[in-house]
Amino acid sequence: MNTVAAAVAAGEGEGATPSPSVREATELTFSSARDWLLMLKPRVMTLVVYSGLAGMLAAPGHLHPVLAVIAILCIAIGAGAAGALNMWYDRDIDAVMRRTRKRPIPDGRIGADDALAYGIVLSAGSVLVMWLATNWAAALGLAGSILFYVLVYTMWLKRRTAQNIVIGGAAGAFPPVIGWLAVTGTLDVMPLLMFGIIFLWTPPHFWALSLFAHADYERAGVPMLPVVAGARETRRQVVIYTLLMVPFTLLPWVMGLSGVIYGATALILGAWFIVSAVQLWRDAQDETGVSLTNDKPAKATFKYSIIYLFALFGALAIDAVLR
Amino acid sequence: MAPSPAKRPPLTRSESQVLAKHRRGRNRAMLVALGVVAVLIYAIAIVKLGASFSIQLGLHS
Repeated sequence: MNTVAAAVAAGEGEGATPSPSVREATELTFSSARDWLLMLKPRVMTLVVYSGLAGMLAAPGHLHPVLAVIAILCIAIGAGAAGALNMWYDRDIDAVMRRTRKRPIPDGRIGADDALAYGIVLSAGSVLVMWLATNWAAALGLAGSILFYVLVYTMWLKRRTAQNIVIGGAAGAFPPVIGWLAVTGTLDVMPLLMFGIIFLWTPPHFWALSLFAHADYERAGVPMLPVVAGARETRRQVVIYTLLMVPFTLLPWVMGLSGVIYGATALILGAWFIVSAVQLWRDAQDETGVSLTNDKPAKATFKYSIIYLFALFGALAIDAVLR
Repeated sequence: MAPSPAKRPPLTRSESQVLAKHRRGRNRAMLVALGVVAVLIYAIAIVKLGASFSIQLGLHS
């Protein structure tokens, strides 16, 4: 809880000189503009914007630069709104987890109802502006991604199954498809491949994180794979999904949809991802699978997975622009 | 979490100053956000109208 909220909650204001702001205090408006920005999960937004832009650049055709910027903004705001709705729904578990307990809702800086309204208004606004700026297909894609993230991942899967990340990963895979739709208005093989790449990338990326953050999930009762199946099985699953993902990333090149720049990048980066996943699998561990190296390989794999996706989609976009 | 309004004590001067500062920040952010939305709608209208005019004038197929 922040200083002012804590002081009021603890009754420190009692007996002090009453100020003219008593009425405002009863409304508990302790949030700052920064808190409302944090509700949009700006870090996650970066990757969403980047992959959406890559989808746009890879698409054939032309979109007016002003409309392209607006479409990217809509993707960013839509993703942020979904993040705000996720924070609204998950406020109980966020309060228990060390990583999230300082978020505006569990910290008492923003009310739950306000967060819900904020998320809904921004979701509707981003979809509407996307429709006005581009076409109904892109707007529908954006609406679908928000609904999938909130209803399917956050409300349905996250607390029920250890496969939450596998299916829920689809929500994060929408942006390049939306970017493509904004330019062309129709679906094609390439955006579906881009969707598949992020879909297969999400499990190794997120499970690498959950290997060194599983205590938080355990405390909150979220059935992440390391909590339910153990660290050893999680490492095995990271390798399996990496081995599925790397050949899949080569498909745009194999199918002639992208050039040698992308193909070579995917091959080199993918080979290194496999090396990283195998190092994670072979991490020194005790008989229960707990890392004896403070999860050093898991941290390395997690960091690398972020660089990997940025570089891969960057190569895809550059390749498409140069072709 | 927040205490019920009946039990909530009045704020001290320094607390109300912090609240006022936060409120000013939120108001400015809201002003910027509304300004951005207005500019976006204008931009969309201008680009779309520009495209349709150029089609009508035969400048663009």
